[in-house]
Amino acid sequence: MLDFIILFLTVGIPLSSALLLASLGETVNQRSGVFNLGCEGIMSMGAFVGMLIPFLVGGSGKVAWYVNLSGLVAAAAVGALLGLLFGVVVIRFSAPQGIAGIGMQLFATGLAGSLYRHFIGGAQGVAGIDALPIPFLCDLPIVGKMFFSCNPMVYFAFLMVPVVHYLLFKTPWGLRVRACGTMPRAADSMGIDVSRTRYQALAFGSAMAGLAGAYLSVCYAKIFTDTLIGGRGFIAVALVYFGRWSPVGVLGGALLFSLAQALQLAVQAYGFSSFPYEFLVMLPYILVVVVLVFVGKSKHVGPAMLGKAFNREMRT
Amino acid sequence: MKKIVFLLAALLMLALSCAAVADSISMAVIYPDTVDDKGWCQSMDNAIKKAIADGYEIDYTPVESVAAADAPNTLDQLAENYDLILVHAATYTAATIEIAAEYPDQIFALGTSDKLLGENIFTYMPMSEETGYINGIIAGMTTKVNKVGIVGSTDGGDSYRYVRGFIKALQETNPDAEYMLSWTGSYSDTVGAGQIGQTFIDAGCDVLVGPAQQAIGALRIVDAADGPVWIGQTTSQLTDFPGCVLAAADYDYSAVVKGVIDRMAEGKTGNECIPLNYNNGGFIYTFSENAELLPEDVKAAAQAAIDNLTAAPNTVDYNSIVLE
Repeated sequence: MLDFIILFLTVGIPLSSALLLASLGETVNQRSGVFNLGCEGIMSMGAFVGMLIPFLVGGSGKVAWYVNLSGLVAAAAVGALLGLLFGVVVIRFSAPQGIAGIGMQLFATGLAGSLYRHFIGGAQGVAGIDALPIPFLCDLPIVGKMFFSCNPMVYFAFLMVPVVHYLLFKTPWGLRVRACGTMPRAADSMGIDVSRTRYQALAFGSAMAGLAGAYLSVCYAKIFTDTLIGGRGFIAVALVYFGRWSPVGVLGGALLFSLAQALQLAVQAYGFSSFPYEFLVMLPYILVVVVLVFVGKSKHVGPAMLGKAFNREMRT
Repeated sequence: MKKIVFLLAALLMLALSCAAVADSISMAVIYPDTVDDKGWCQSMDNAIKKAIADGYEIDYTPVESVAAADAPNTLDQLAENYDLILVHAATYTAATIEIAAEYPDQIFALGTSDKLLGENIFTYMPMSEETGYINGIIAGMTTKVNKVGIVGSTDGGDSYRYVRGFIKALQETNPDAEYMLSWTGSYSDTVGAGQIGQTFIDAGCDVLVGPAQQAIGALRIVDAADGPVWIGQTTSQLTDFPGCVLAAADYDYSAVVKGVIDRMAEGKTGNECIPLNYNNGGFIYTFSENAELLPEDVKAAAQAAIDNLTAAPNTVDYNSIVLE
């Protein structure tokens, strides 16, 4: 039984990283009052751009670490650009955020697939970034393999939890972001440029989504396909509600979903269940919906002006 | 006089080219993915090009990445303009039956299905239990720890046959061998396949297999790990990952493409299932040249089984397997 528990934890933790990165980014832009359903598409573009640079330099072979790093930086940059483009639509032109987000998702996913076929094509992969066991710690029994033999991006994702918490709750910028999401008119009267702050939050959030996509293509699957993201962008948006707009809550949500996913695979593999596999495949999604129902009754409230455009010339 | 001869020659050439066009079959193929996916769609694309190279006059139009919800509209448009519409995914079955009924003079070919779906619909079905069976023999003979992992897609269609054919051969070849099986519930969940592959490797499996285009996700995990091996379903896996792939079976759908066109030439319009098997050249099996990976006795046993299936198709009783 212990082997079984270790197995699903070892498999589940790395996969939580993509959700964690995207959800942390989404937390920031939702805190500013903008929710981005285009996260899925931005992750797809990040996945493509992240592997494009190492592929162009070294094909499917090994490349220097800084080439892979360049891919990750480029993925974040492209994510930020798409976030700013989304910002122009929903902040400058006050388009409904939900509809604009779906548009961004379709646009970016399609663009990533088209560019992939033009520049790479086929089912090509990259050598990508390998796991980085931490000396001594990786040799610890049980936890060594679970926590200290991971990909560098897994460490980075978990490190971003306190970083984003600090940014949101301990810095003047974080205070401005939260003010813009909760009472933008009051923030405006205090001299805060609401639009600029929301652009900044969107750029940050979308850069994180781009990185999350690049994690999947450069560090995990080491390949790009049109369906690589597989709905994880939408799950990331849901996890922000799940985590009640708190980085620590989002971490819990990402871990819960990923571990549930790993658990259902392990249950299938060990043949513990006589349920049809379709039910097991649904399990993580059902879990998220059930938890969201209960979390919705929580006393913690979200950004009051989430999803609402701000126009300083109007009273609403 | 010269002008008249020239004019007549030009008219003759025009008439000949028109005749050639008239003889060729206009064929559209709708695909669920892209034709360079190194898997399901690419196999069919390659088969059509092979049939053309073999002298079949086909005016071929691929329509890629068609979502199931868009299939009725896409088929409706294609039926107006093509002699033969080949529908290369079982997810389009309902749409094909519906549109084929509206266009009784057009001919459709749908795969994978072994059912008879209508007077103007041919179906085709890879007898994947045969490729699974050969892979199962190799897995049973090469596993050192008697633990084999099957990265499943969905338990239907040719995947259903493949998995059961594999398990049957595994149990016949090596009764001590255990198998682990997980399904992603999709044909294209590359990340999920990778996650299953990692689960199996961590659980101690030393031989992994998996059908569908998503398998590349698991194969990359196997390649990155030091030790486990993979038995593949497309030859490109063998060439791209020579260090860990023991063998691979390619689907050669040209047997289907040629079969449909030959039947159309005979005046048949459908209501028939065309199988894909070793017997009609529908499967091409390739072994790794690396003797350390694939010992000669294993290769010989697999080749003997292929010869048997070529001589006696449809003899793998895959339905006798009940999954644990």
